[in-house]
Amino acid sequence: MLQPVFRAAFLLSVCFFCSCIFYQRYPLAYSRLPKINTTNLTFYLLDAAHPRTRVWHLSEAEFLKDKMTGFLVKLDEQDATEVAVVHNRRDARYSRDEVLMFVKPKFVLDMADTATVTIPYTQLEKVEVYEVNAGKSVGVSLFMIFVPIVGVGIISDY
Amino acid sequence: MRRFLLPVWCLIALRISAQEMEDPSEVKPYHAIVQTGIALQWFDKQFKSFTLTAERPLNLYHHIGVQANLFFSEDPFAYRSISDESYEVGVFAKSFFHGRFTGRRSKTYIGPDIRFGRRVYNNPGFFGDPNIRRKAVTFKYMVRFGWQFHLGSAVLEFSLPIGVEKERLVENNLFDGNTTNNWFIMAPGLSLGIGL
Repeated sequence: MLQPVFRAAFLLSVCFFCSCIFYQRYPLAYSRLPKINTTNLTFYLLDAAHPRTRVWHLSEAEFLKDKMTGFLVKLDEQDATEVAVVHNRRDARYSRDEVLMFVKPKFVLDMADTATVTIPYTQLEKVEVYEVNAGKSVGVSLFMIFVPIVGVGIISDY
Repeated sequence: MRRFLLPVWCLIALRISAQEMEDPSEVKPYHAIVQTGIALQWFDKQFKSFTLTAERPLNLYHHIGVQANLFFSEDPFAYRSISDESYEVGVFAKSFFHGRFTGRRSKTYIGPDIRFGRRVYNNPGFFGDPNIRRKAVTFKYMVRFGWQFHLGSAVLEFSLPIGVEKERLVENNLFDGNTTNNWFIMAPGLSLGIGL
């Protein structure tokens, strides 16, 4: 009799925990670029001065110790804004496999819309990725689950 | 107040926008961490204890350690009153959450926490008799959530182990028909220490 209730409670708990995962944009050290597994990742190159309008998609990316190479295709402004701007938590979660590389404006000033390029890491202003904010995710989950339990414990005067 | 905060925010902003970031995964962990603090134990009855922990980082993301909790004594007329001979010792492990790409170590961790203990109940005697002492052994298995902050060599930690305690009264007597108890417990703690 109780088994369906427990199953439903378990499923609800899983859904709750999944919804309590918060993603946030974090800086990535250049020295880690050659170390990360690039499978299933999407790389974007952004003009640091105009990150919402000037964005390139980087394919066939290869990361060496001090430089990177790849094939660039420029995105139109609407797609560029979609890449650069995250509207909500769900959007951030869907962007967790994207790597945003902000390039110094001088370097991208005369860059073609489609080109194979070699970019030294010294020309990158910053690299950012979306990762789980563990502190917030665990904190909110615990708070939401245990506040009622603690409340009942206090009310019951034990 | 705003003027005071401005340089602080500038420092934080400088750090965020720094071009040459150090790879967080290559930060060397401490050789050992020693901490001391206070902890509570809920529910049914709140116990207070003094804690001592020593932990050894296996690498940047995983620590193992041992701990000892010495419980404070209470008024013998209180419900489930215990004496200061009560203690528990245990082992724990901590796995810190970390970034998939960045390698940055989160302050938040999760891990198992197992404790064995001895509890001495201290109940008042009848009509001026000496207090009745009842001994019990405890075994706790818990999941330990926590947040550990490193500020140079100083270490500050909030921990929140959650789990089950099994208590067995060692001496049977007239009043202890049921000699085992199971409790759902939480044992929040705050500790300060040093990283060596």
